[in-house]
Amino acid sequence: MDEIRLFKELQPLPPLDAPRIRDAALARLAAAMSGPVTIRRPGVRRVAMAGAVAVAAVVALAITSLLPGSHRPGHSFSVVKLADGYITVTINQLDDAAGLQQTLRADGVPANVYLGVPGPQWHPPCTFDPRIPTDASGQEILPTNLGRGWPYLPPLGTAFTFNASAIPSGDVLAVILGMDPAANNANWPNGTWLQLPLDPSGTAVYVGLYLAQPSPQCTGS
Amino acid sequence: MLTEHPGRSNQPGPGNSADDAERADPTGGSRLSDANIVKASIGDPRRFGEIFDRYADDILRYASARLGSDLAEDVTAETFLAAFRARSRYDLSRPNARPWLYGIAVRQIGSHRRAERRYLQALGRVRAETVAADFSDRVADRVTAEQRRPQLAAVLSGLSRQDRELLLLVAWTDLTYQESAQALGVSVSAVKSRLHRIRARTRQALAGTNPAPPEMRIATPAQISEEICHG
Repeated sequence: MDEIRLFKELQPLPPLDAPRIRDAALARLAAAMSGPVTIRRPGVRRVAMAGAVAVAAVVALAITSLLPGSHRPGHSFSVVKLADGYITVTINQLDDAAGLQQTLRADGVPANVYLGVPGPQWHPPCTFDPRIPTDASGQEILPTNLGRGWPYLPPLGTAFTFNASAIPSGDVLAVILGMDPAANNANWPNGTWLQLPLDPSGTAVYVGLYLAQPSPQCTGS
Repeated sequence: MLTEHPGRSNQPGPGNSADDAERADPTGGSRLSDANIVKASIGDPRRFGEIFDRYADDILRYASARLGSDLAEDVTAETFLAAFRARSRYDLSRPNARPWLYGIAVRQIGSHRRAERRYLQALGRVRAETVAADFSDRVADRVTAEQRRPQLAAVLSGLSRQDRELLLLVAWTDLTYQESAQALGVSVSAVKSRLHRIRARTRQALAGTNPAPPEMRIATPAQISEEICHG
């Protein structure tokens, strides 16, 4: 007996309303496929205005500025500290790296938050924690729903949760808002990153999460 | 597979080349590979609809099996939307997009943990009806599975998230070990070792338990949903 096949037999039958579900999913995809076209120029991404999202931003490969005056009303992020040492972060906009850093540190997370790639100092001699970030029970410290190499594309404002209490002693959690992994594909360590769309047409911004060993050259402390 | 994680080389990983090429062109005819369609869709977004046509039923069925039909629409739509948005970063060395899509679906499903937990609990409670005896291996497995449903559901719930994702990908889709490894971003050896551990755990859970009375039926999502609603 193959035990795996036993689980196969537990699989529910397809839903009776599968055609309706398929049609509804296709309608949503079709709307996205016929949305506004995003123009990309070398070194600069332009995010097209979208009807439902009152945010427009110019996102550079190394972010230097955001268009002012067009942010969605409301907070840029939220941080919720859970009882078991987990932290849930929701990032809505990229314009308050300092605030996010301050809030995370106040909740006991040794975090450095960067807007855009931190610059040449981010590459070696930065020392990234080589350990796959798991806690004592083998659960990953960084969000398990973000998978290395697999961008997770939640709607803007979706929360992600990580186990702050299991961050190795001495490590710094680097949160990089607006990184572009494709443009920095050398020497990036094991970590995790998620992709946040800023508008329905699909131009994405990445948030990277890494564990690094602090140094004046790397993390400024 | 999407563009490799920063820091990893862009070398093609395991599970590509021959198997993927056959899968992408099973008839040996002129059917375009998924990679070619994704590439074409960068310039012509409407071409991505062909990817949807090929795999929507698979993803829909998997999402429904994991979370029920109510959430299946969201997961299916969000999976293909996510894939569409990320298509410019698709690893064109991988002709078969199915592992990529399943990997995205797994992440989407992961954002519905509460619903998944309820669904797993209900999976263990749906009771069985009588089925005619048959000596085929498939029916023997089915009978055993139905008799041990509560224990199997308990094993499922007790697995780590990573192990559960792997088990259900292997058991509930027809992804190969290599494709499952691609979908989850792990090595094939990790897949094999985890499955070995899961098998051992299952055997332990089933050992010494008394099977339920010999009644069996196959649960439909509606029945499971009803279980969820009415306890």
